[in-house]
Amino acid sequence: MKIWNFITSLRLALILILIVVLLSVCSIFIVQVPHDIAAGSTDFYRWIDEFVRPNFGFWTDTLAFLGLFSVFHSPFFLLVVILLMLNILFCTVKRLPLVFATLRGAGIVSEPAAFPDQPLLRLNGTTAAALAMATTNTLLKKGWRVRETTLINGILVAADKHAFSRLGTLLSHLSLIFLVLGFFLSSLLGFSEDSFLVAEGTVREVGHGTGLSLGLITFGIEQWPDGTVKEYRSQVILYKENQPVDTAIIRVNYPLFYHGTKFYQSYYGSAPVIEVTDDASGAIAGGPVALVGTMADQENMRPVGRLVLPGTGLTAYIIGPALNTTDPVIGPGQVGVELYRDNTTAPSSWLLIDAGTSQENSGLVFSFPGTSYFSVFKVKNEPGIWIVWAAFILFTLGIVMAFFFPYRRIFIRLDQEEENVVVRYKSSGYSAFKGKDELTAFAEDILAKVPGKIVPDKE
Amino acid sequence: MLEASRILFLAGFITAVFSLISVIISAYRKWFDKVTLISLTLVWLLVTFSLVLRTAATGHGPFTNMFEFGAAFTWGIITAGLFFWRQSRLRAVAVTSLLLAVALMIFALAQPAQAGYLVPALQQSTLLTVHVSAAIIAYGAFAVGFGVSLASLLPHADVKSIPASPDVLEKTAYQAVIIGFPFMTLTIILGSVWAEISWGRYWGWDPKETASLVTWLLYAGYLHARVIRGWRGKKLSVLLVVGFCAVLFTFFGNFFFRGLHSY
Repeated sequence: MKIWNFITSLRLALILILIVVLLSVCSIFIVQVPHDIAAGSTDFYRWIDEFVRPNFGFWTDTLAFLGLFSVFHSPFFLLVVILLMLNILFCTVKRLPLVFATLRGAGIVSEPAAFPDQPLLRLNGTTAAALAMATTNTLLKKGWRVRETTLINGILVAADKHAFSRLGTLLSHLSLIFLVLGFFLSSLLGFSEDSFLVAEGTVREVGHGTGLSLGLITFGIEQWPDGTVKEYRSQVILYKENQPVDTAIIRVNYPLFYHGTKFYQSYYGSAPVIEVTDDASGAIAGGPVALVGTMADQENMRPVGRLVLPGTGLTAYIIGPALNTTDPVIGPGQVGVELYRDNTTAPSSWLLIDAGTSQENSGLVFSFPGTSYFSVFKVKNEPGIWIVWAAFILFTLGIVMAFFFPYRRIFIRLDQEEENVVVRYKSSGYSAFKGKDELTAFAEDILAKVPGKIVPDKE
Repeated sequence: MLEASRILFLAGFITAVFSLISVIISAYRKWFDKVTLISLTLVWLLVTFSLVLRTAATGHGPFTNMFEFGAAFTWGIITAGLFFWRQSRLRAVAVTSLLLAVALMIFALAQPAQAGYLVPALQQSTLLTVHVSAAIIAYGAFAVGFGVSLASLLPHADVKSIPASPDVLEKTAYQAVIIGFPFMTLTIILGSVWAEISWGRYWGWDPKETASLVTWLLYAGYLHARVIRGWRGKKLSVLLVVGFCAVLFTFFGNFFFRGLHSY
């Protein structure tokens, strides 16, 4: 019983919320590993050594052990979230009987513990029964649910309003559980690929058992008068089992949906078209080379892409002009090519090629007809997304019900004392009237319906 | 029109300073309450017209750089301050709202105010307007909650300008939070919907997203502590002060952390 009480306690909820808050704050101040690198993998440790250790030094290994570079994917965070969801679920279940009892009218069955000693007013010239009837009718007209109970010397009028708002709290809490369920469902049954790159004029398989392929027909950029990017769009064709099924223009805020698979425009870059041939074999390799990487020296950061030259023992790195400065080496309309022999770390050759020209090196001819683009999409399938949206709607509904239609209860006790009716009033929980003005208007409304007059208070 | 908008905002700032002085004087000269009401209303009108002109000039809501967002946040604070002051007549509401508004206006006026072009991700005017408007209303309400909570933590005997009992201040703070919290919830939900449409994921633990969640959790904790545990008094006031610090951190976070919100 003690354990059940603890699991369903608000104290536990507040502690768990506090832990989530603290972990979230940590994640803001401590650099987090990129989404596409799994914590604990070889890439993770490479990332730690390259990006984290220079800044965190001695503390790096300790913080990594505590999972603070991957807070939201750590087992501890997962445990806290699961515990919080269980707490919410059990708390909600525990409060269900009270919610349904309130809906059935249990809130106005019994008399409250104590009325104020000082009566609200005394009326002369009417009876408790007449006043009770006027009160009940007025309340009913204002949308209250009313129950009259006969007392020894009078009548108790109990009323409540917006009992349905108790459901609001229930909905908003349950929706949090649905939200997490929706997320887990998508994680388990769906897929997400953050950097699905397609070069202009090429087609790429989506994979993940979808049977889909995406071809980038053309890519376009529109600019504002000041040269900044206004819009970039990808004209695509979608294939299912190699048959075209859809064409679309994908741009930011305008994704493509196809039977649960979604394609979002992410970013783009230049993709110089490089063709490599030799006299003996003809074409070795060719096509747009997406410059997705970067290489930096002290002053210049240049985009770079990789082109494998099969059968030659060579790999070519295609380098574009610097992104951050005027490049002193590679000008506009030029590309640099570094050739590496297999299993070496230093380039064996360097070429600088102008657009529309060719150069020979290492027995190969490198042609650079011009530059096209590559477009990067985020591709995903989220079976649980509809549960997430439903959770958002339910949560909003719950909040509106609970906050803007709060549950109200009032008790009016009418005691017949000889010729006078003594009126006492108590509201329970949220204030039944929005201040004295509304209570006064309510009282005046009732008093207008009965004979009699208010007896002044004795000095 | 942009220049007129900036002039109106500057005029609003000067009026806000005057209004702040007026509300402090009203602790000693009661008739200054009327002057405060008129000047506060004038501040609201000037800032509102400034934002309307800016919207007309740029073609989108004033939410796309820190000057615009600072001005909009100011509007939220003044609106909430005016609303709650008229309801409660608590000088603490007027004082703290004006103090915060003046500070924020100084910040906004120090930012580059040129109207830039929208980056592709922001070109969704419905969601941009509704998402950020909800945030402004929430932040404004939370600012009132912060102000009265701070006032309730001060020793009353020494502060003539805040003549209200702790109970009244605490209740006003609660009323501010029950307006602010639903709008904060709406901000996060709309932000998630927009993130799904624009970036392909409804939640990515972006620093701004995480900071706004922290803010939401703090206020959710406050509501649970008050409504269910029956907390009252200084504990709650401290929680609301911490909550508003989280609001400020969320607002200013772009200056410190890179992320998808760093436009």
